[in-house]
Amino acid sequence: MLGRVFKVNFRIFWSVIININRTSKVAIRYIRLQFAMLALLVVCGSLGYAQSDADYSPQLLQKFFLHEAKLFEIIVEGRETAPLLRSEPILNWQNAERQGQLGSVFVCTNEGRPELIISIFTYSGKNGMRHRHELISMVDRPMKVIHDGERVWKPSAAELKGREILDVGEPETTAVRRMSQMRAIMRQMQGKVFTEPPSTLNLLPQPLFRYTSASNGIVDGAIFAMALGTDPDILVLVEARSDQNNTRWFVVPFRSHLIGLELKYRGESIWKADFKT
Amino acid sequence: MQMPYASEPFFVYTDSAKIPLPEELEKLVEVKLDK
Repeated sequence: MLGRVFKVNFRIFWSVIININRTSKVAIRYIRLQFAMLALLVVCGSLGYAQSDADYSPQLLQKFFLHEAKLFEIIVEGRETAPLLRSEPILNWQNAERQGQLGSVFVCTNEGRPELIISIFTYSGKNGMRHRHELISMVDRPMKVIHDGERVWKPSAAELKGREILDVGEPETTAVRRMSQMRAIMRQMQGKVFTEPPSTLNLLPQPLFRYTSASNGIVDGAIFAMALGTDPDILVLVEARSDQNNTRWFVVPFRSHLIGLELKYRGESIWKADFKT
Repeated sequence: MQMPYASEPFFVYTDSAKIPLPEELEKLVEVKLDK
């Protein structure tokens, strides 16, 4: 339709130009009209572009991410209570290095402990703004995750044993001092993402989430993130776990990206994740 | 949830899905989140 209008206009435009000497006043008016139409097309075109990309404010997208997160239903095998989604994201992030991606990270907890991470983020596609989901199970039982009554994901029991950290001593008796110990542990971590070329991840200064869980023997715990910009690629649980005899520090890394990842502690490789396709 | 794009026993990364245009999105989040 627009093409036909353009073709007809083009023909008239040329006939006016050819006869410009004979009908100069009419011709000038017509040329003005053509420029006005051209300007209108440019404005409409830019508005159309804005509709497809630029009009999504971060606030609107974050509301959408929360809406998406609330559509998840979680059933943990052998349990009557489902993990509870915290309605505030534990992180809103943006990554200029990955096409300006923007995302929110949510946590679902049970008796205080994080059991499922739901990460929802934008993805630039050819057909306008798109989004992806990324889910990380942190529970040592199989679970079933259903989204909007449709697709189902059934992760097996997560590996939560982790690695014991001995060189910061036993967990301190106060929450403030334990946080200092957790930060000291994380400062010794070096994260790497095997993009081309590989990039070093930076530790986000604040833990994303802090918790205790008496029923799981966790005196204190926190989720830290190793990130590119503020986009987390590795999540690390740091936990002070207590049994009948003593309380000790453990760390458990989790992938938060499908690219190959590595985590070192004091220069020693303690965890690797291969590229997933 | 979209189809898995990549997964491990306790990690899944899904295919992408379209986000509604801003005007539709405004209405969607207003209606659903107000519930």
